[in-house]
Amino acid sequence: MTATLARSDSLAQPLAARSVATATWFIGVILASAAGIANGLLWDISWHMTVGRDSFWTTPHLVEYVSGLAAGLSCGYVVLRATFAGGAADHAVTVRFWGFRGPLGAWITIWGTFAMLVSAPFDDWWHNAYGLDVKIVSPPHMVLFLGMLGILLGALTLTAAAQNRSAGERDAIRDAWLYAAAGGILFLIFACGTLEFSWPNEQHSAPYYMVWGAVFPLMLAGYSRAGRLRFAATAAAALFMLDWFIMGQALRHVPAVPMLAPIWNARTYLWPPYFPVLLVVPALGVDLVRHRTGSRSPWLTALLTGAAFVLLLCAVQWPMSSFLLTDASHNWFFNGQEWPYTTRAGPWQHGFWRTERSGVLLAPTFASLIPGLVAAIAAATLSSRLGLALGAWMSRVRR
Amino acid sequence: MDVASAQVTHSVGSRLTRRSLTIARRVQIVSGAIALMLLTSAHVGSPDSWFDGKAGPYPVRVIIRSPSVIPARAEVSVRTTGTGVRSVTATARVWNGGERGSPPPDSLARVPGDSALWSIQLWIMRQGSYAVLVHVSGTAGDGTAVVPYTAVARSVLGMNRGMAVALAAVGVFLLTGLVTIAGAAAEATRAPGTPTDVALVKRMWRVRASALVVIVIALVAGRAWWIAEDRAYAAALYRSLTPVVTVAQRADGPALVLSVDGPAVRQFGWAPLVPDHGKLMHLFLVRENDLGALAHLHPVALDSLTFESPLPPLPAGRYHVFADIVRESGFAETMVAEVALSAEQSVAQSARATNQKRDRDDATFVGAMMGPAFRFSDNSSLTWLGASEQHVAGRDAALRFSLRDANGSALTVEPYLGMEAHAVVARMDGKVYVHLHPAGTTSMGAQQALVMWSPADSLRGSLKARLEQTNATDAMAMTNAPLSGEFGFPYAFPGAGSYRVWVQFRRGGMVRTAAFDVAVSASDSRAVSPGSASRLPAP
Repeated sequence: MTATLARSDSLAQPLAARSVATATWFIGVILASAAGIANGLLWDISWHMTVGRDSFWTTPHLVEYVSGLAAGLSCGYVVLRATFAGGAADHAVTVRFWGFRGPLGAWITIWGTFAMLVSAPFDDWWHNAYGLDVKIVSPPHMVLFLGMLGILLGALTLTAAAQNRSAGERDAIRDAWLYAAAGGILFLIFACGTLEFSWPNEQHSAPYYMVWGAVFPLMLAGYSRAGRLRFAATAAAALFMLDWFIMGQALRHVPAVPMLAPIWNARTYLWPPYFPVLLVVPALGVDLVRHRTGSRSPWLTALLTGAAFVLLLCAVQWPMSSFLLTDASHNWFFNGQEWPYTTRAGPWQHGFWRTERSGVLLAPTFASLIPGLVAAIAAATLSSRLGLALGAWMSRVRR
Repeated sequence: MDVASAQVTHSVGSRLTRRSLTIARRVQIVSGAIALMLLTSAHVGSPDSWFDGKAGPYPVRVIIRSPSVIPARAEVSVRTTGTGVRSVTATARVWNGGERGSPPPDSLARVPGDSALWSIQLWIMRQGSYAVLVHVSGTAGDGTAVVPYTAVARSVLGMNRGMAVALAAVGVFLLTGLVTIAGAAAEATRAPGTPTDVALVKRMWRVRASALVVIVIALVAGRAWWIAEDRAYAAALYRSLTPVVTVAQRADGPALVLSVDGPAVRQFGWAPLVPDHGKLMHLFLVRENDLGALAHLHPVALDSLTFESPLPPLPAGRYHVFADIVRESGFAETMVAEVALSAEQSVAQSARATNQKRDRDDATFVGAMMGPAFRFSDNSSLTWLGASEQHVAGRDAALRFSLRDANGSALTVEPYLGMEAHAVVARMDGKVYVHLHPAGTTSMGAQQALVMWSPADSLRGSLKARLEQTNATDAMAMTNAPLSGEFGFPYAFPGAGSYRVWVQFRRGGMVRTAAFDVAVSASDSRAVSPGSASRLPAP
């Protein structure tokens, strides 16, 4: 993909370059930790779908927690350095927090690490009160997810600040791509969080478009607005797809067997996520809408962005999901028709559903989807508007 | 703990009436032709499963500590007394999962300090009937015991105050941090090196206030979500079926009618019942408050949801009704109800009881206190050998008994529904009820269903048909050879309180019932943890 710098405004770059808060190693560690958390989550989901038995010591859990601790401790170090051993350079690129100084991204990351740690005893109590994990989305998991999200948003903020500071400088393109990478990781974790609504079998029904319409335009519109690459949202979406695809390739090569009864589908390797949603297409639409609308009414931009997102998502995923329901997609490249160990084989696997927990709706017509798409566009419009506002703020973050 | 004998009181039971003797004699005549094994799983307030049996050549005692929520891990302890045992494994198999639907077996670890005791935690992911396969390997070869296990979610754990305060404190810390971060977000847009000014400070406060509003809304939504999750879980908890029990007048006398209906059936479905040692239902009437009267009945099915038995001669009063059934899946449960017998019904029944066609295995007992040895009319006595031991909740109940004649010589018993004896345990408040046999608390009917299940049994009722055929064939081969008058029941009282234990066996063609009272003290901790080897009795 071609990427060029859209804007350039140099901001006290020489001063910032001397601070520990802007050190390349620091941003690298935070970005790697964010990637570890998001990919660890996808790995963990795969573990639940294949092996089933959960414990604190599973490999994906360790990846997630080590990543979280690495991020939190790095930020803690930077904060302590900037607060107690920092000079003018450190003060220049940091914000105050309860008497300490650190970059905003570091504070968000530290908050995320704390939330992750707090979720552990909460989740443990939840298991004792309501049983071991049966759902991805539960209150303690939401606290954990918020913690993980905090670390990812911390990485996003740190890379945004770096990108904004280096605009027009030597590192501008590198920093803009790092920011896009942070975006790709963010998309990945949201794709994990919405997985229960995103099976290919659900992609001919309104809830899928409403959920994705509510969640993703916020990030895509924000990205398009804040990223210094010309096609910032497209770049982040492409990196998300690449990451998801690589995870699918990696996981399917890990031998594993189910360890919980009843086993209705005797898996022999980790469940690989199906071929990634073709997010790059609606993302390109979002970028193009923003280029065309420029500085016109943000609400008009939001409406057009929302509509473009939903319609383009439907245009690509309607046929794509039809393909993923066929046995032809059951191969190493597309990972179609891969099911958890709890799945009893049946024709429903090749049919479309209204939602994951509803009965089979074998052949919904496109016409039946239209009211749902209208609702999805409404949700996507609000989501885009919020995304544009957050993107405008993020494009100004420099600390 | 004081000497348990101080806590144990014993009851004198009245003798069976002459009529009952006649009935009991009839019972004896047919009992040999009916039962393969007399083992029910019948529990109210007593969720743990105890099993004594054999895994091939190795005697095993298996205890499954039932978790109160599902999914969860159930603690499984296995004591083997065979020699040369090298390894013990266990698998929790869903009743219709078959071998292909089972995970690889888990190896049990030896409990330190006790070479015969092994333990593991097994994963139980959904409510329903399981076959826990305990496999023992050693120098004498290999063997597997099939232990029925009914997994149900029984409660939601409340949050203790300490935990709630700790979580709330951390929550406040995180939320304060979030508000502070929101304020800092305003500062972060300032160009590096720009000093803080009044405008920025004002802006930071505005952002913090806005963030607080958003957080409060999120918290309210989160609370609503939590409440909804809690309600959804509570709705899925297992509840005993609560049938309606009435007394109806029939041509030959009053009858007890049990009707299963209501939301419970619709909620959990109703699968075909299978016989447990020859009976579709084992129903116990226990008089409320003093537990002074007991009837063990076997109602027949009028239709799939209605059961009826002639009313036995019992004194008037209110009675707990415990009805044990086993479903085709091996799911064993106890239905709970109450019924009041009026004085008129009681008198009428005593006068007409001989004319009614009763089940020949029915037995009735009306009793009062006696000592640790329960004396019968022929001067033989049943002695509770463990009466003087400490009785602590969660520990081995020491339910071992010996039948002797007036001279102290050991006596034999005749098979009562295929085995030496059975026992009923109830707590005075009616909150605990369990039906025990020498092989434990598990249901033999359930075990038989789990062993015989095959993938071809996907049609409802097909397994039931095969089970009934097998039972009929086995009944033909039954013998009436005498059995030892020394027997025991593996069990632990689930909680503190005053209990009554009734022991039933057959001798001289008559079903005899002895009653013992016992006061059980509270345990200081959850009993029989894997490490507490000394608390686990030998099989």
